[in-house]
Amino acid sequence: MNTDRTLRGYRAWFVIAYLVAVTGLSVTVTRPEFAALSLTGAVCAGCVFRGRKAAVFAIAFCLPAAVIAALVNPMVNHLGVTVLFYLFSNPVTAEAFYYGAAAGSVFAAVIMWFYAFRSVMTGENFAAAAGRAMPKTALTLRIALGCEPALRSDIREISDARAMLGEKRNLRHGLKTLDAAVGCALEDSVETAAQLRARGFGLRPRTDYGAAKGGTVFFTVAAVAFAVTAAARVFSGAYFYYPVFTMPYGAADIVSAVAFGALCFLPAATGAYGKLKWRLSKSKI
Amino acid sequence: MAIIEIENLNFSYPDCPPALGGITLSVNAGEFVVLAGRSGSGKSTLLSCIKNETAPYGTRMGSVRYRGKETSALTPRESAAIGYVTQRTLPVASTVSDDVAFGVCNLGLSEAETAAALAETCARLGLGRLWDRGVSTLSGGEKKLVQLGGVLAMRPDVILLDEPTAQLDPAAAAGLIDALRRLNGNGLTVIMTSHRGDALDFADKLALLSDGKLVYYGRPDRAPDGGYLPTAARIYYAAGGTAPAPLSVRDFLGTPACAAAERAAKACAAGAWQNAVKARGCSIGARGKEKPAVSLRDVRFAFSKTSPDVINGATAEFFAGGHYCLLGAVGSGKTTLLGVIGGIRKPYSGKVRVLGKPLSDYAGGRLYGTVSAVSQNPRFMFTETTVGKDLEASGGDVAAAIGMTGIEALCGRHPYDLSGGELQLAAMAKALAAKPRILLLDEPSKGLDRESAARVGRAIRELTRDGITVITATHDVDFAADYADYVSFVFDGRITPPSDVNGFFCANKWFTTDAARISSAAGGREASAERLASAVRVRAAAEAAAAEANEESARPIEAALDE
Repeated sequence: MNTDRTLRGYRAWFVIAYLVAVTGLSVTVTRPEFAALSLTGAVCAGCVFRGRKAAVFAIAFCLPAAVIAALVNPMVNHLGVTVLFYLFSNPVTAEAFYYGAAAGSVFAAVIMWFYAFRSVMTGENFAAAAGRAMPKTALTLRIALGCEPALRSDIREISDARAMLGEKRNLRHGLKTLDAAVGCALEDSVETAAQLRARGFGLRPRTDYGAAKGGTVFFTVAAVAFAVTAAARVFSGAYFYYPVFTMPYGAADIVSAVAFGALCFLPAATGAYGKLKWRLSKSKI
Repeated sequence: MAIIEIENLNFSYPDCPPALGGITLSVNAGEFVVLAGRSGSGKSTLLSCIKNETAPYGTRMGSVRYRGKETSALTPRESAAIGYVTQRTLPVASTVSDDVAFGVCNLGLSEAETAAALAETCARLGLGRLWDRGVSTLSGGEKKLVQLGGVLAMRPDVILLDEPTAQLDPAAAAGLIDALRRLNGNGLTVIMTSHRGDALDFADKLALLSDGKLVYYGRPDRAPDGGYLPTAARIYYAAGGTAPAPLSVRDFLGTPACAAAERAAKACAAGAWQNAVKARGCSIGARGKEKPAVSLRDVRFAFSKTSPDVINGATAEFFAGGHYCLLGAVGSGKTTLLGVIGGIRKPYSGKVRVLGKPLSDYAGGRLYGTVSAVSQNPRFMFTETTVGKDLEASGGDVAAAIGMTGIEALCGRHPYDLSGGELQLAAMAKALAAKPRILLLDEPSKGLDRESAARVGRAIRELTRDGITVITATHDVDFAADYADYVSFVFDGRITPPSDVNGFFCANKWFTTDAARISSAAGGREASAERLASAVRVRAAAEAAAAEANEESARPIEAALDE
């Protein structure tokens, strides 16, 4: 269920750029606090955009993923100084646990980010984003997405027609139905192409009617946060999981962590603020 | 001032005989032109040649000019002034707003101009209530309106429509023609093809094509008689009237020149129909002891527990050897009713009996040998590369089925290459291969011209002569009047009792054929245009012969009086 109202109005490129920035930073910087911030930010964004289902998804999928990675990594990775116990004559080290936990959290966080943004970035948004630069790709996307409901109703009709001719609804029937549906769709594609050409498909430049245009503030704040994080990472010291777990927390590290935290919680905050404003306005009716 | 000029246009598809031969015509700005002709006569080819983007691939000679410029020399933006609405409504986007906006966005206007174009199109066609809906949730008529909106938003000068009403029910078709008429009144030049005589009562010009040649181009009321003219004109010509012919029932009944036709129409009493039915051995009267082939008793059906009943206590009996037509508006439940009889929709209450046995006796696919059905889209029934292979694959008595429908010549062709009428017959053959006693047809005449519909109707008549019960769901009143034996209404989830064709149509005032309107006004009872026309022709010939004989006998008397 989609409950977001705010980010859908943002320019598609802004949203794509944000997603790339936050997932890129999560993956390249595998510090424990970055992983935690990314995961928490993603879960919050998910809950704001997609309601209670996101919390269920987080608990059912993300948590186990992180836990499993934390448990599996020590089994395969035996670097590290602090040996906890021996398994099949292989040392199981604490450092491997830490890294496993961090990497697992990052993996879960990336999945969660895409899950959260699924409702903000609909296929139509992508098509609009690509619209001016790559009209043919955008159109292919749009038509492919529109195919699904049409194909579904066609399949239902064909299945009914064949059932009335005595076919039992089994796998063979299903394959034949799909065959007929796809055949008809291919046949129609020629006429659809004629119609598209008749409506001026391919003419440039194309008006961007109705495409979302907002989100400049969001983008500016996100850009600043990203820049600060990246710069601070450049100036901060190296960190190691193996062989000794060394996580320096100098000034630069703290700055980068704070900036990254701001970046991660930005969509949740924006979305929640937008919802609150909307509810307050509506309560005045 | 001519807006479209076609000069000596010849066109042939690759490796095919010429599709168009030497067509010359010109359309003035603001005119409403209808292209008529049999299927295969080249109407669609001619229409698609007018716009460069839709012109088919092949050898072309001659010129087509828009406002004096060759259409092939127009820039794409200039060519956008010629709008083209294809026959099949295939959406280009998933929501209505995106579909309508697609064309106008391609023109690259500013946002304000685009918004204005969309706003005025939406207001003109009444698309506001559909604006946020998904295209797949719309009815056929609504989809067509959206397609028209998408083309009109580009603000064309001329609009070309290929069979716009072919797939629509009468109400939606009338709405579309009305919208086109109003747009034409605002100055839009309209050129449309039609094989059912739509819009002829107010069109400026009629272009008649036959085998790729232009046979007639001029006012519709002076066109030669043919299957494309409305019923009023056909009856008028059958009664011996001369051009200009009336093109609507209102014109027919009003003018004094139609008195001859009215006299002949009066002669068509119900008796003629009942004699024909008795000859086929299935009169209404003698049904007392015979068991019905299909009987429904208080059947109720809903798609889910929470949705309303689609079928709400339907009770009816269908006897062997009769052709029953179920008429009804879109969404009245006709297709669902056929589904109930065909066994794929299980009613939650009520009894359905086929050949005396309840449907549960036929579980496990055995119903197929007794009840067979053809779906609304006959294309959906074929999966093999040739019709013959598909019939073999479905098994049963293929040779007999081919013989019954007369499709020997089509067996080697791909199903998607067949025309509408051929496809319908091939689908019927596939359904008949299992030698069913009951055949269910859903909209068999949809999109067909009169001749193809006649082929299908005659095939149905052959089947009923062999004792097969045919139940047809349709909204085509002319088809029902010409070929049905009994007609019922499906309304409010119920079926009205089947009554004879003439009684049904002549008693109705709104949902009836033009022939019924004409003959009832004259005091007769004949709903079928074919039968009325032939009866009128016979009567008119008899009157003419009698008049001549009177003249002959009067001459000697006059000669004697003169002396």
